[in-house]
Amino acid sequence: MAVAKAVSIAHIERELAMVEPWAARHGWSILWDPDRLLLVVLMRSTIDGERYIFEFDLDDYRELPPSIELVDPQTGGRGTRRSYPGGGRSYFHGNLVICAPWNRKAYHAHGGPHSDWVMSNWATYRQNHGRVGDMLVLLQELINDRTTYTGRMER
Amino acid sequence: MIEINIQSPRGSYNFTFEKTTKVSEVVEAARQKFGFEPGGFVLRRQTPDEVLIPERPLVSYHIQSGETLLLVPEMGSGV
Repeated sequence: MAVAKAVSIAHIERELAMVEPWAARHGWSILWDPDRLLLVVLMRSTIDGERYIFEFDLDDYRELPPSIELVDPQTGGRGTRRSYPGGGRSYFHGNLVICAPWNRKAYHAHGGPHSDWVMSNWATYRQNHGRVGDMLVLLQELINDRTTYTGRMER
Repeated sequence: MIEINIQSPRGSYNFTFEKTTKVSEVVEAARQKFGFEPGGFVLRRQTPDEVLIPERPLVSYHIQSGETLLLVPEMGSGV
């Protein structure tokens, strides 16, 4: 691990504290496990009430972006079509990855489609989505977005 | 003057503005306060759920002192 665990924890806890009022207002359930550097957030679409669980693996944060996976709230299945929302302005890819520079899984080296991005520059590509709270708020916005959200990718 | 609480992904803060302040000026003040880079933002009211139009002044929305507004960076798109 390139980043000391304590350093990652300090970043994450500072960023989580910033988004706390937002989380309370939107009824997120947040489970933060500093020992495992794992953040799990459950949020609900205001359109259809569907629940989505976003799991952020944050080892080496902020040198590397989070590795984000979705978990089916009913079966616990990870990275399945049932766990992903549909639509989402092309963030929610049919190949089951959140396609954004702030997701480690979007990079080719981690099985994603992007060989054109440099992972160490991840926070500079979209600076207003460069903190954990920014990402979570964006994800909530995407599942609330009436123009593109299509419900669960597979029912 | 009107006091507004603005919540963003990077914190929450109570601002005081003239009632005639344009929404775009409110967005800019909040953007700087919360340390966002320049870019597209939406300022939203939750009840009723509406996006405030940048060119309009706060007074035109009959916003009450103490009300909370939400500042959201533009979603952009996946790539």
